[in-house]
Amino acid sequence: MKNPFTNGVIKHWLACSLVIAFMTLNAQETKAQNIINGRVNNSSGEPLVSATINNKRSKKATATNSTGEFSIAANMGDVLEISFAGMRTQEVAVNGPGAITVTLNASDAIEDEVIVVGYGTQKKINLSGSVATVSGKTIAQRPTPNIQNLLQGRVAGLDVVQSTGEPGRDNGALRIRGLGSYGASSSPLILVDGVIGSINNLSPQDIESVTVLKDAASASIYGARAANGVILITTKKGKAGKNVIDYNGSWSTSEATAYPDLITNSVTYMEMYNQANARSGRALQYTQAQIDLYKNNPNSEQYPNFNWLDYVLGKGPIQNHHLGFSGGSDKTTYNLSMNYLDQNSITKGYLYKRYNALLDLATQVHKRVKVSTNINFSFQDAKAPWLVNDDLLLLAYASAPTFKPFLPDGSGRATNRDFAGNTSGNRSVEEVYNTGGQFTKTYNVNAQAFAEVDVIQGLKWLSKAAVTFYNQDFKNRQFASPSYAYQPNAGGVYTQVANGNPTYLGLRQTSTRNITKTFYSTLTYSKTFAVDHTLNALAGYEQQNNVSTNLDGARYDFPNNTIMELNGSTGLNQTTGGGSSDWALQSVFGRINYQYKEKYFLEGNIRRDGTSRVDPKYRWGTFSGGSVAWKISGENFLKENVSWVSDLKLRASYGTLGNQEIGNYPYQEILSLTSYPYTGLNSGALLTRLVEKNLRWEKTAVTNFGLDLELFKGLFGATVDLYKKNTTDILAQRADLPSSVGLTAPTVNAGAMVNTGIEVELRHQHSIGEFTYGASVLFHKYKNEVTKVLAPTLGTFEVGQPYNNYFLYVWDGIFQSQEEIDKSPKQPSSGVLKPGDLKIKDISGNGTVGPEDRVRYSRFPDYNYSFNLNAGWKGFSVTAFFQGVYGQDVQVGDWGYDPFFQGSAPPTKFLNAWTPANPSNTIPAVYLRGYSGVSGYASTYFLQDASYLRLKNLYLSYTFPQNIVKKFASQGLIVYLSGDNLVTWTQYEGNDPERAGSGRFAQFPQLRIYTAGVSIKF
Amino acid sequence: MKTRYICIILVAVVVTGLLPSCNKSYLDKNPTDAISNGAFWKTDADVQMGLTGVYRRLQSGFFGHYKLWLDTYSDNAYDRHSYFNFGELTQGVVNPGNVSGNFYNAPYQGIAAANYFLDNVEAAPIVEADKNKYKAEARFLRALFYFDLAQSFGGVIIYKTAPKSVDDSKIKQSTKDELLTFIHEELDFAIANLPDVVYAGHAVKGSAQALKANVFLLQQNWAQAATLAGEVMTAGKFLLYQGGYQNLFLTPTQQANPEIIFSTKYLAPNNPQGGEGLLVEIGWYGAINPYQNMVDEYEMANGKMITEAGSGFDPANPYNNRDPRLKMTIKVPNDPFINPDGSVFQHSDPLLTGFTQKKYLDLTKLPFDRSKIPLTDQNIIHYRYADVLLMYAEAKNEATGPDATVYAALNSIRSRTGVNMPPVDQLLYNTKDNLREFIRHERRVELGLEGHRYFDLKRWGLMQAKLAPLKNPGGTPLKFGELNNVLPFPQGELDKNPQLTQNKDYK
Repeated sequence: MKNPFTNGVIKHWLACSLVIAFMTLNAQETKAQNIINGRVNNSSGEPLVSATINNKRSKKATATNSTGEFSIAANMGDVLEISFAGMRTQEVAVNGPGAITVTLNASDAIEDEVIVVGYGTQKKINLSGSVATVSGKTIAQRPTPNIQNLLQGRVAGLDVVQSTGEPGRDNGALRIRGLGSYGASSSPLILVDGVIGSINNLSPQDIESVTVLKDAASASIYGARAANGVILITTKKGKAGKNVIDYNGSWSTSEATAYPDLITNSVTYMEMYNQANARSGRALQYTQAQIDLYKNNPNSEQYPNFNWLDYVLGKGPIQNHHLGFSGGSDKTTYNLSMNYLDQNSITKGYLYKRYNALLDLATQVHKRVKVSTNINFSFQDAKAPWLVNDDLLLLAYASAPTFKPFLPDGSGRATNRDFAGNTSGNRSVEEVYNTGGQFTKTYNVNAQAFAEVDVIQGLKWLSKAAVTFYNQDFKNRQFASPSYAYQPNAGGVYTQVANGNPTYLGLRQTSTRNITKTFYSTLTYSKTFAVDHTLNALAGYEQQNNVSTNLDGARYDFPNNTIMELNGSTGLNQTTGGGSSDWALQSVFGRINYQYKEKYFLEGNIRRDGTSRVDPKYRWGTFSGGSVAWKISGENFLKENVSWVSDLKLRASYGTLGNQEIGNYPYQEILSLTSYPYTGLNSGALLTRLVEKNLRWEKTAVTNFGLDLELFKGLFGATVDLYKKNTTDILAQRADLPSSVGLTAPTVNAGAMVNTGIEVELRHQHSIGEFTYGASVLFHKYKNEVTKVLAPTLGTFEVGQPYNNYFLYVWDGIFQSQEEIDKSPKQPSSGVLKPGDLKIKDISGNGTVGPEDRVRYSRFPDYNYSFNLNAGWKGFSVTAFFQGVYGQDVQVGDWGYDPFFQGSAPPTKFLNAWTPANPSNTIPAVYLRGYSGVSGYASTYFLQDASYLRLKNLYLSYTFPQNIVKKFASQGLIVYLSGDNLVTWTQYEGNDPERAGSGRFAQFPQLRIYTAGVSIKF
Repeated sequence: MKTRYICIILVAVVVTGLLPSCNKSYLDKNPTDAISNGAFWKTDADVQMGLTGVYRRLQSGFFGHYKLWLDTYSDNAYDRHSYFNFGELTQGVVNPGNVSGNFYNAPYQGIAAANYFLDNVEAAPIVEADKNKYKAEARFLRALFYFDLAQSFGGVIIYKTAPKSVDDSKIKQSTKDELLTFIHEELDFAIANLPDVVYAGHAVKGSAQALKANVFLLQQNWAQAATLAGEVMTAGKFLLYQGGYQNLFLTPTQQANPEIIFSTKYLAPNNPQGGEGLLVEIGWYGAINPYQNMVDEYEMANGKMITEAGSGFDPANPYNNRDPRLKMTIKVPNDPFINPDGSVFQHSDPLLTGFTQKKYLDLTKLPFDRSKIPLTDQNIIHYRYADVLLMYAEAKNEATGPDATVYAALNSIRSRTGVNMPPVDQLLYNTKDNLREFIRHERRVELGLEGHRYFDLKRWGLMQAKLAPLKNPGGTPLKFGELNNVLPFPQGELDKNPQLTQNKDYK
C-alpha cells in the first residue's frame, strides 16, 4: 500500500462502469422462448400475491398478480425460482408448456435464514462467528420515536441505555459486550447499507434487518473501526411484483414514567429549611413572620402549597405517519417511503418534527449488470427551551412550594422566588420558557450508488460510491423577560428580582457540516468443488474520508424578541468563529470461507487499514480473525439417532480489531491559535500540550466460544456465547505529568482492560391449532477488569478491578444520641457530629473510620436481561416485551435528594427524618448539602440500586381477515394498541431507574407512551 | 461472448490499475485551524505571534480578573461564593488539598509559554535588536510569573528552559533566595532591553523596574527598592491619572492611561474576561464582600481616622464625609446601583457583610446579568504609578526615615483630582514607625480590592494580627497560622514529582 488512493478513483470507476455496461448491453438474447403460465399458492391453497418468479437462466423475473397467477418467458429445461417473504424458496424446472402450480411452504427459518454480514450475506445456520440479527418487523413493533432505542433488549450482548425522554435528544448509548475503552470511543460502528450513516435517518418501517457483529472474527473485516462491534442496518428494498402502497399511522400520548414526591406543604418546607440552616450554623432562610403568613392563610392563592413537578410535567402527544410505495417489474424494483414524526414533550417548550424519506431503486441494465441507488434523507426540526434535559427539570425541583409560576394578581408576570430579599434557588421554568429557545435543524443524507456485475459464473464484482452528508443549523436565541418575587413588598408592590436571566441576550448561530465520502469495491467468488467442498472468497478495497466544518456567529443587540436572524441586529460586539477538521482511512480486506459437507466451517477475515490519525510511521495496521464451527447435527450418528436435534453447532473464533476513534490529530505537535489585546486584538500561538508522536490506535482481541441449538424444528432453541474481549494500548494521559510543566499531559497508549462475558438466548415457539405462542429470553452478564493503568487511583481505577469503581464509606445508620457518637469509632466527618448524622462503618475495626474503610462498588451491572412473550390466535396477537438490568448501582445527589439544594424541597420521606422525637435509623436529620455530618464525604448514603425490570412494551394487534379487507381493495389491515414502559419494578426511589449513570438525581423523565395505530396495504 | 469477457476483465484491470496512481496525500491530514510547530518561527510575524501566546497566559488564574479575589484572603473582604475556598483558608484551615490550584498552575502555564518562546526564538531569523526586545518581554513575564510563585510558596522548581520530557520535569525545588536571584537576573535583562516608553500593552522598562522594586520590597532591601521606584519617578513616563480615581478601572479610560504601568488586558467581545467576568461575578453575584473593618479604614474627608478625636464621624450616617475613595471602591448600603430604567439593581444573593466591591464595575453596563459576559473587558492592573509612589514611600521611610520626598509621594496620591484628601499630618506621622503605619494605611486604601493586600500583609508579617480581630459572616473568627505564610504544594504535585518536598509544617 505504498500508493494511497484519491477521490479521483470514484470518477474513474463510474466512467469504467458505464463502458462495461455499454459493451455488455450490446449482446442480445436471440433464442426463441415460450411463455409459461402458473400460479403460486400457500399450503392452505390460498393464492400468494406478489410472489417473485425468477428465471435462473435468463435472469428475468416477474411476480404473481392478485390472484396468485404469473406468466414468464422460459425455455424448456429452464429453472424457475419462486420466492415469497416468509416462505421457503422453491425451484421448479420447466418441463413442458403447461401451467405450473407451485405450493410454497412456510419457511423453516432455521434452514433458510440469510443474514447480512460484512460486505455480503451468509446463511445464518452456517455462521461460525458470533453474529446476531433483529428483524425489521420486531423493531417496528415498538412505536417509539427513537430508532436507536428500539434495539434495547433485542440482542444479547448489545446493551442500550436511554438516558432521557427528551424529544429529539433521546439517543441511547449503545455498548456491545461492555465498556470497550476508557480512552477512545466505546460506541459501535454503525453502517447503513454498508456505509457510515445516521440511524435516525430511517423510520422503523424502513428497516429490513439489523445485524450485530459481536466477535472479532466477524467484525475484523471492518478492521480499525470495529473494536466496539459493528451494527449493520439494511433498509428495505423493492421486490418485483405487484405495486404495494402501505400506510402506517400511529397516535400516542406520552407522560413521565416516574418523578419523586417532594414536600409541597409550604409551612413544612419553610420550617424544615430553617432547621436545616440551623443545623449547618447558617442564617435562617425564613423569619417567623414569613412562616406565619403561610400558616395563617393555608393553601391560599397568595400563600400556596404548590407542586412544581406536577405543574411542569404533563402529557406530550406524538404522532407518526409512514407512507410507502414499493414494487417493480422483473428488471426494475423500487421502494419509496416517507415518514413524518411529530413529537411534543411532556414539558412545555419543545416540539420535535422528523421527516424521513427513503428511495431505493435497482435496475438490471444487462443480464449481468445491476445498478442500484439508495438514498435516505432526514430533516429534523427541533425546538427546545434554551436550558434542556436535567438542566431544565432541576429548575422545577429548585422552586419552592411557596410560590406559583405567575404572580397572584393575574397579570401573567413570571416569578422566581417567594420573598424578594431571600436567597433564591435557581431560575424558574417559566422564566426559561419565556426568554427564548434553541432551534436545531438537522439535515442528513445518505446517498449511495452501486453496480453489481456477474463477471463469470461464481464471480461477482460490486462497487459502491456513497456520500453521507450532515448539516446542522443551530440557533440559540435569548432575551430578557422580567420576573418577580411572589410576595409583594411592604408597600404592596410586586418587585422585580433578577434571577432567570439568560446566559446572554441575543442570537448565537452555529452551522455545522460534515461530509463522508466512501468508495468500495469487492470481488466475491463462490464455487463448490467435488460436491462437498464449498469455497467463498472476498477481496476488496475501501477508502473514505471525512471533512467537517463549522461556522458560528453571535450578535447581541436586537431591537425586539422576535427577530431570529443575525442581520436583524446592528452587529455591536458581534463575534464569529469557525473551524474544520478531517480524517481519511484507506483499506484492503479479504475473506475466505470454506465449508465441507455443510458440517465443518472455516472462515478467515483480514483487513489492512491506514489512517490519517496516526503518524505516517505507524499508520498502517493489519487486523484479522478466524473462526471454525462444527455442525454436529450434520453428522450421521446424530442425524440417525437423535432426529429431534434439528441443529447443534459449536463455534470458536479469535480475532483482533482496532479503535481509531482517538481524535483527529492526536500525534501532531500543534500550536493553538489564541489572541491577546495589546491595543487591538493580536493573534498569538501557544503550545498547550505535550505530544507523544508514536501514538497509535487501541487494539482489541476477542476470543469467542459459541453454541447454537435447535430442537424439534424450532420448538426450542438456544444460542450461547462466551467471550473474552481484551483491549490493549488504551489511550491514557500521562497523569504523572507535574503541573509545573505548565502543559496538558501527552496522550499515550498505556492502558488495558478485559471484558469477560456470557450471552444466552433461549427461544421457544409453538402452535396448537390456530393458537401460536412463543417466548424468548436474552441474558448478558460480563465482568469488566482493568488490567493495566498508567496512573492508578486507589479505589476507583486500579489493576484487577472494574473500571471507575465507586469508592465509598459505608453508611450504617443514624447516630441516635451523643453517647452513641462518643462510643463509636471516630467518624470521617470533619465537623462536630450531632445526633441525626450518618453513622459510618469502621470496616477495619481499628477504632477510626478512615480512608482505609472505604469500599469499592462497581459501576457495571451484574447482568442485563430481557424476555419477549408472544401469542396469537386467528388475527389477534399479543406481545409483551420485558427488559431489565440487575445490580446497577448509581451515585446520585443534589436536587430532590439533598434537601434544600438550591432551595429544592426534600422528598416526602424527610417528613420521617430523624428528630430527637423520631429516632429514625434510615433518614438523617434534615441537612443542607455540604453539611459535614452527611455530605462532607462520599458514602453509600448516596449510592442507590438502580436495578429494574420493566414491561418495556405491550403490543396488541388485530389483523383483519383477507375476505374483509378485500372488500375495500386492501391487501391487509392491522389495527394495534401499544404501550411503552408500562410497569416498572425497582428499588430505586422516586425517579426512573433507567438513567445514563451517576450524577444528578433530577433527570428528564423517561416516557410512558400509549399508542393506537393502524397499518393498511393496498 | 468470449471477447466480451475479455473486455470486462480488461476494464477491471485498467480500473484497478488506476487506483494506486493517485496522489500520496490521501492519508496526510493536518490540523486546519492550528499551526504545526515545524513550520513556525520563520518570520518576525511568527515570533510576535509566539510572544502574544505568552502574554495570553496573563489572563489565567490570579493574573487575570481573579486577581481581585486575592483580597478575600486578607482582612479586606469575604469570598462570598467560595470561588477559591478562601473562606476556609481564612479560618486557618490550609492543607495540600484545599488550596486553589490557581496559585501553582497558572504561573507555571505562563512560565511554560515563556520558556517555549525563549527556547525557539533564539534560532528565528529576525533582526537582533527586535529579538532582544521580544526576549526582554518574555523574560519580564517569566519573572512576573515566578515572583507570584515566590510570594505564594517561597522556593519552587525553576525551569529556565522547557523540560524535554515528563521525566526531565521531575526535579527539586530551588530555595526562595535562588528564585529571587533568578528573578532579578531576568529583570535586569528586561530593564536593559525594554524600551523606555509609556505603557500601551507590551511590557516597557518601567514595568520591569516596578516589578523589581516590588521584589526588593519583599526582600526588605529598602534602599534598592527606593532607588528602583525613584528611577521610575524621575524617568517621568508615568503620572497619576487626574481623570477620576474610579475611572482608572474602567475600560474606556484605561486606554493610554498615564498611570498604568502594567496590566492584564482584555478586549470585548472576542477576548472578554474568563469565567463569567467581574460584572456578573462581582457586580451581580456580589462575590467579594468587604468587611466592616476595611470600610472603617477610610478616613474622614478631613483626613482624620474615624476613631480619632474631632473626626466628625457620625455613626448614624457612617458613609458621609469620608475619603471619596470609599464609595469609589466599595458599595455601601445607602448607595444603590440604579438600572437605566430607574429601578434599583438587585444582586442575585444577599450581601453577607452588607458591602460589596464597586471598584472595577462599569455602572453604565447595568443591569449586570449574563448578557454582559462578552462585554466585560476591564484591564486588571498589576502596577500603576500610585503603587510605585507607595513603594517608594515605604522603602524610603524604612531606609532613611521620613523625609520630604516620602510625604510628597503620599500627598500627591491624596491630592489626586476627585480624591482631594488633605496632606499627611506631618506632626502626627513624624517618626519612621508612625509613618510606617500611615503608609500601610494609605496603601490599603489606595490599592483596596485590587488584589495586593494578601501579599502585602504576608510581606509585613501582619496576617494573623489583622485577621484575628475579624469574624466571617457566619460568626467564625478568622485566623492565619504562622506556617501559612507559604502555601503547601498541591498533594497531586508531590505524588507526581518525588523530588519536590513539601513546605515545612505541611509535612
